[in-house]
Amino acid sequence: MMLMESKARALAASNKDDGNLLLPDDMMWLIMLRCPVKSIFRFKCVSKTWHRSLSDPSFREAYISFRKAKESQVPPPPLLGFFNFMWNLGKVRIPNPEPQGFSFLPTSTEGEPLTRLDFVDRVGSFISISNGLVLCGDYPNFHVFNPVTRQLFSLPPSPFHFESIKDSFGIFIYEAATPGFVSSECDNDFKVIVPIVDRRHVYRQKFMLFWIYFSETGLWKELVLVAPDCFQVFPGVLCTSIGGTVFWYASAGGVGCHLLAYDPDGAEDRVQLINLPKVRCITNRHPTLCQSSDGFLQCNMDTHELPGFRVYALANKLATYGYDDVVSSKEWILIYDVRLDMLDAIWTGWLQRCRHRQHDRYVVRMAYHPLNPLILFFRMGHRIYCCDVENGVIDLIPYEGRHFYANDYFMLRPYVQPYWPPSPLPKGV
Amino acid sequence: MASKGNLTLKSCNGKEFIVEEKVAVMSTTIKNMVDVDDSFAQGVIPIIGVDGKILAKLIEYCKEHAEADEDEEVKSEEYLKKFDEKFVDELNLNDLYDLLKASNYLEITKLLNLLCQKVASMIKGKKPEEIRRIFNIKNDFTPEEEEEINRQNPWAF
Repeated sequence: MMLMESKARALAASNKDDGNLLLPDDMMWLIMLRCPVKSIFRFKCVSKTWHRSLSDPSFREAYISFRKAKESQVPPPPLLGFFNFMWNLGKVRIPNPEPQGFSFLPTSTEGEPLTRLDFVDRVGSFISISNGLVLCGDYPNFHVFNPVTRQLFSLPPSPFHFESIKDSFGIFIYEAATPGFVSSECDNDFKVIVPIVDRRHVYRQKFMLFWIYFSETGLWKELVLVAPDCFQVFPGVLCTSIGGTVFWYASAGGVGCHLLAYDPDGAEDRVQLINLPKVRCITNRHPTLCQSSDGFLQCNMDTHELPGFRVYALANKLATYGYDDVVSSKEWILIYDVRLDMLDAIWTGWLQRCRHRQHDRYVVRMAYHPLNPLILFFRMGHRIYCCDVENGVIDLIPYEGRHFYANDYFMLRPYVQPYWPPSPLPKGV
Repeated sequence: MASKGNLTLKSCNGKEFIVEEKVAVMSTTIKNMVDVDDSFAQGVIPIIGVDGKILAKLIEYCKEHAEADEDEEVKSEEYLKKFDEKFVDELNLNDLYDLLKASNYLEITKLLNLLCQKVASMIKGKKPEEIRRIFNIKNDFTPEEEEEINRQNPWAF
């Protein structure tokens, strides 16, 4: 009863301001949670009080968890479009036909401003996306940017040099492979992980040299990471960032393929090796990875009968496997066998039409939806599709603008703005 | 606690409403009162700070939702959605604010969410000066400070 009386007094007091329509802070908070993120950033200049409460990290956390909760019934952030970039396999040297190195294909009107990223012509090659931030650049200059807020941060160049590792490993030629990139959702920091690959090394090794940049400290670190078995990462192989862990496709020589997994917050100097599911296939150049909604690593493999693919998930959470043994391919459980029967009709017509264009004939898996592990994007020639892996239903995704380069050297990565726009700038800027 | 009967709610300007208990306990505040003190279940529950007009609105909303919770067949989700839409559309700004405050005080979570959503859809996309006008907020930034904040987030404008 005491509580009720004090609440009633507060209510009566607030009623005095009736003409002013002043609402108590906790109610303003509830209303702000329901506003689009763009409005939130705009409302920061309403008053000092609004600026303070909307800039508070606790508001950001509440905003993200409110949007994630199913019962709040807020529509998920839209797919803004796809980054189209040259995927250099390392061995192939072809001129990049994109004047800026990469381009953006908008799939919604909200994504259209991203086609005019005027700074991209000076930031080098596209590398990777993690949690709404984009990593690009060429050794030794890397840049991280948010394409929506257009904030760009250039990393200081790595203080380490290839020469220094030449001395310790012999006379081989080294090269920085596709860097991994992890950015955190709430803490506003990221890590750039550059594996150093020996291009002439014929032997696989149990260890590998990495350079890691920590935005939190602003420093680069040189680390030798140890794996439970021998592996080899090739230059130019694509990496995938999932929930703070970076994955590369690695060769295990004659005994199959691995995934190399590095979680900088797990064990600083150890990497995990995971054997891929055993599938007879022709086009498994690299698996498509994501994390299921309950936190298990999910891996997508082509099947040998086109068109279709299989989705596997690890039996246990990745962290529980530890670092001492290679995760066996038996740990993968088949969860969806997706037959793209709907594609058959398109497929037949397609094959006839593009008889002379070899690279248009494949279903090229691209990536999962960054916020939905049940939606996979793939392309056939210039057409982009999304597939609901639960029931195999596919939809054509219309995009604006000219055709992209749909050959083997180009790759598409979906971009979805996260619930809260991450900043690439160091804290306090 | 009394058996599932009727409760009497009394507004701050003396209006009394007799409502079914299942309707009244949509308000967590009232539910706690009834649970803790048996005498409320028999007597009159004063709803301090809420006038008769607003209390009638609250009861109208709670009645629909309490009935829907009890029998989904009669009042489907779609029906409720339409009811909710109509309910908030008919409110003028003053009533909207009074209802917001009252539903917060009486802890009628569903209604509070609905009303917050309504206000959010009214203000989203609006310019800062429009927001200041709606909520009668004084701009306490200097022009330089305001410019600096705008400079940090040019994408939002």
